[in-house]
Amino acid sequence: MSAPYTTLPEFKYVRPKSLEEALKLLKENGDAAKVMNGGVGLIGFMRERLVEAQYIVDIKGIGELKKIEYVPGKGLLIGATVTGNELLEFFEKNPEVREKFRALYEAASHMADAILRNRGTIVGNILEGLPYVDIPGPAVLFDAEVHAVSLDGERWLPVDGLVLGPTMTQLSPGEIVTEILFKEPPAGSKSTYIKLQSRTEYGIVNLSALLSNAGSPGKRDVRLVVTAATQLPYRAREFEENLKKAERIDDVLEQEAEKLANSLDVIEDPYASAEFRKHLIKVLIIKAFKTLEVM
Amino acid sequence: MARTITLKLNGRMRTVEVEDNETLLEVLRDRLGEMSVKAACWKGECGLCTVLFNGRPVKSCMVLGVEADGGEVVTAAGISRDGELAPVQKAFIEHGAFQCGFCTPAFVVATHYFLQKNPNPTREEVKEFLSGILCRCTGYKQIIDAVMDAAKYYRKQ
Repeated sequence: MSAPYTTLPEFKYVRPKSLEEALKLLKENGDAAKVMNGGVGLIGFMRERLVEAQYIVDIKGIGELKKIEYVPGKGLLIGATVTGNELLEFFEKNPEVREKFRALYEAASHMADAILRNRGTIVGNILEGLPYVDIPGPAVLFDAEVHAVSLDGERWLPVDGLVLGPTMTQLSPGEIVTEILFKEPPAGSKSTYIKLQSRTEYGIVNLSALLSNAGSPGKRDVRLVVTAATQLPYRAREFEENLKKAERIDDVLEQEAEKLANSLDVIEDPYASAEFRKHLIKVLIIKAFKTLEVM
Repeated sequence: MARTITLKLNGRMRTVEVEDNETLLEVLRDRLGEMSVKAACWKGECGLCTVLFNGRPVKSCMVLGVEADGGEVVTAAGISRDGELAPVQKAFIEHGAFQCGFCTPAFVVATHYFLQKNPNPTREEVKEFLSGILCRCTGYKQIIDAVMDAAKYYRKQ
């Protein structure tokens, strides 16, 4: 249960106009400065006294962070301040890109709710580090990487492994994530996102799945990411390999789904028992791949 | 830190002193007396503090007041024109789409935005859009009926 706070602790708000100005503020203030993308996560965490900050560096005033760009062969680049609804509007105008990144589109459609999606960003959704949010699943599915920039340099970090837990990531205090790259999926691949919710907006089991060349064992690509049921996104590499090399997917799907579900360390909470989550993982994996096979 | 911001609220320019750590919700209610904006969960879940901020619905407990400097805010009190209720407000009255009425301003202002953007919604689309606003009396059927009915006026506009 949350503490009964309504007000936010004191801090100084700064809204830099350029990335360089923002990076300087972070460098000068170290861990006392926190970056605000949409603010949904940060304001929530600060109100609960889970995150402290003397300075909030709002990056929404930096124009270059608003871009959405599809580069054929490379993938989909999404700037740090692009909201869930802005991505959905881009997909509406670019249906071919939407189909390439179908699992991301479906996850963004389920992100929080239609009103919060006007503030919540794609990048921020990942950096919150909460287990039940929607974007980390497809991000790991499409081998996404974030571009972390600081005054000392820049680097690309895979989303798989980026998050350590709620509010905790591999990023250093001086770094800002400027954009995320969802990498181009294999030609002809299909992907989907399944979110099983309890009576809240939060998923209890979320799956992201991708399949290409289902009929050809040698050429087949299979990807699966489990989120919400586990503390961190789980890319099921062994499951993927076993499905890739099977003569026919249907021969091994049920058995491999059960094996994976039983091997995972899943969350047990008031919304669902561990046993129920494992059952859901199994049946939803079967559903996901049966759906992808006929798409 | 205190600073002075200027925003357009329901069509009028307003200048107000705010602290950096005040949310837009607190600024609207406590500084500007905009009581149609309700405070309830303080965590972005109930949606009762929904207002239109620079043209889009947001939950004002998740926006800082200082962010509104130079911006525009519209609340349920600002959607009527020349003293005449907006079509969605009339439809809420016709359908009795409230019980205690505490959630009504949020539903009304969010729906006013939604129907301008999508004047031909299905019931499912209405439910999906409004899923971020909670009515604790649970009178959702009348709310959705009112939205579906009000849509015809937005198609004519």
